[in-house]
This record gives sequence, C-alpha cells and structure tokens, in this order.
Amino acid sequence: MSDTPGDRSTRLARWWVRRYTAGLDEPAATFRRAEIDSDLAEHDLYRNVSGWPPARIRRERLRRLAAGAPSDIGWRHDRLRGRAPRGVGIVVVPLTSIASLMLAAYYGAFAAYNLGNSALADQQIFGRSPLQGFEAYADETGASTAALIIAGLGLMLAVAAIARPIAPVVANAVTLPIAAVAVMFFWLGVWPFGLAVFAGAATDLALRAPRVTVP
Amino acid sequence: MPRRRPGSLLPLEVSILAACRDVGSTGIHGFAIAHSIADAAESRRLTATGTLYRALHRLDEGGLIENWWEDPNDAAAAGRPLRRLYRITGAGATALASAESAASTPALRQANPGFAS
Repeated sequence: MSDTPGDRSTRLARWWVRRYTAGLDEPAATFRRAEIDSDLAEHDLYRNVSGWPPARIRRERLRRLAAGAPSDIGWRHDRLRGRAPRGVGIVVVPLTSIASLMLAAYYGAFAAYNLGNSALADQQIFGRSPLQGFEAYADETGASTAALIIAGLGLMLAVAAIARPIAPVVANAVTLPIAAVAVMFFWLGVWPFGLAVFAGAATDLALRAPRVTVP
Repeated sequence: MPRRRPGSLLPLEVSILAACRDVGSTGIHGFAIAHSIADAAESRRLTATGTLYRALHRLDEGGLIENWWEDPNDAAAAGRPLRRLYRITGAGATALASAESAASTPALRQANPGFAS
C-alpha cells in the first residue's frame, strides 16, 4: 500500500495501533491490528468509489484516528481489566495516577508562585516591571534554573500519569524517581505526598512484574 | 459517549446492528458499517475507527453480533487484507427491534398526544 494517498496517515495509524496493542495478549493484539489493517485498506479502496482527492482521504483517515483514540485507550483498558493486578492493585493503580497528577499540579503551582512572587516583590522594591524583576531575581539567585527543574519534573509526572493506561511500566519508571526527588529534598511539606506516590508506583510496578511459577 | 442504561443500546450500537441486519447473513466488514452509518445519517463523516471497533467488540461480547474472517482466497484474489465480517445474531435482532420500538414510541406520542402505552 506504499502508493496509497494516505501513506503517511496509514503509517501513523499502524504505529498507533501497535502502541495501544503493545503488551496485550497476542491473539487480541493480532486481531485488532488485522482489523485496523483491513479498515485502512478499505479506506484506500474507497478513493476509487468516492472520487475523493488523496488529501481528503488522508484528512478523513487522520480525523477518524484522532477522534477514535480515546476509544482505543478504553478498548485497551477493557482488555487489560481481566488481567489487571487484583486485590490492592485495583486501588493502587488509579490512586497512583491521581496522586501523580496532584503532585505534578503542586510542582507547577509551586514554581509559578515562587516566580511570580519574586518578580512582584522586586517590582515593589525596585520599581521594575515584573519581567525585569524576575530577570534580576533569576540572575541573583538562580531561581530560573530551579523553576525550570521543578516545572520540568511536574510536566514529566503529569505525562507519566496520563500515559499510564498505554505504558504503565514506563509511567512508573518516570514516576518513581520524581516522587523520590520530592521525598529527598523535603520540599515544603510535599514529601509525605511524594512518599505515598513513590510507594504506590513501586507497588504498581511490583504487581505488574511477570509472575515466576516454581514447579 | 452517552452513559448506558443497563440493558439498553447506545445510538451507535443501534446503527451498527441496523447495518448488520440490512446485509443479512453474508456479513459486512467494519469500514462498510462505518459507511452505511454515514449514509443513513446523510453525513460525509465516517465513524471514528476506535469508536467503531470498540462498539463492535462490545456487541460481539454481548452476543448481539458474530464475526468471522473471510475466505483468504477471496482476499488474495482482490489483493487486499482479510476482511473481518460481522452479522447480527438472533439476540441482536431482538435487541434492535426493541430499541427501534422504544425510539419510535416518543414520536408516536408526539404525533398523537392521546396515545398511551
């Protein structure tokens, strides 16, 4: 299908289906990929019937792909539900995601508050504009670097929490060190929260680890 | 997506079942279902891929439709990937008739305010 009008969109659709079927039972994953492959081929063949220009076929395919992405994730959830960690895992997995997002929001708010506060204080004292005040403050204290690190950690944490349905192990791998940073630096009372996220992510990771059966 | 009441069908599921019923026992593939739904709604937009196939899986798991892969020789002769074909089951036809009946009742009441169920 290399000469089809939706060539790039076809590759994107195949990439996406590989992503959300990754780690599922092979029959279910193969089934879904074959199903989508067939749909993509039929969409290309439809060009001959409809007379739609290639750009329109491409746009329509991308629209169908984007609009259906939440359902794809939901479908993956449906498939994983049967083999999700039982017992404590049923509580830990969603709680870790929520707690990670809250921690991320805290990091972001903390960075924004510190930056805004320092810039405004400088404006009041020295009569500088907020931007000039921040620049002066950053030069003196290295606040911009700290703020960037904090905001970056928060962003990564948020991405990890959102990505959890797609790649839970990767999400945990990101969450663990960031939560550990919060614990290690005892940031403004957030460390117990970070510890809870750390414990939750570690438990989630342990529950997802392949079980070794001893004969 | 609208919340489902227990035992009820979502509008998309009704449309899928109707598309499956219309083709009979020969079966219909996913893209053709999307096309059929768009035609019925007089829309030029096809149902989103993920939405369509997730709904198909739900209906399949609920026993309202059944599916099978087409004969590989047919696909090879046409030079395309295998099609997954779907057709409505007896339970699906009953559920569809029930949903269509429920959908037509408000219209009937509107047309005839004296109508009582």
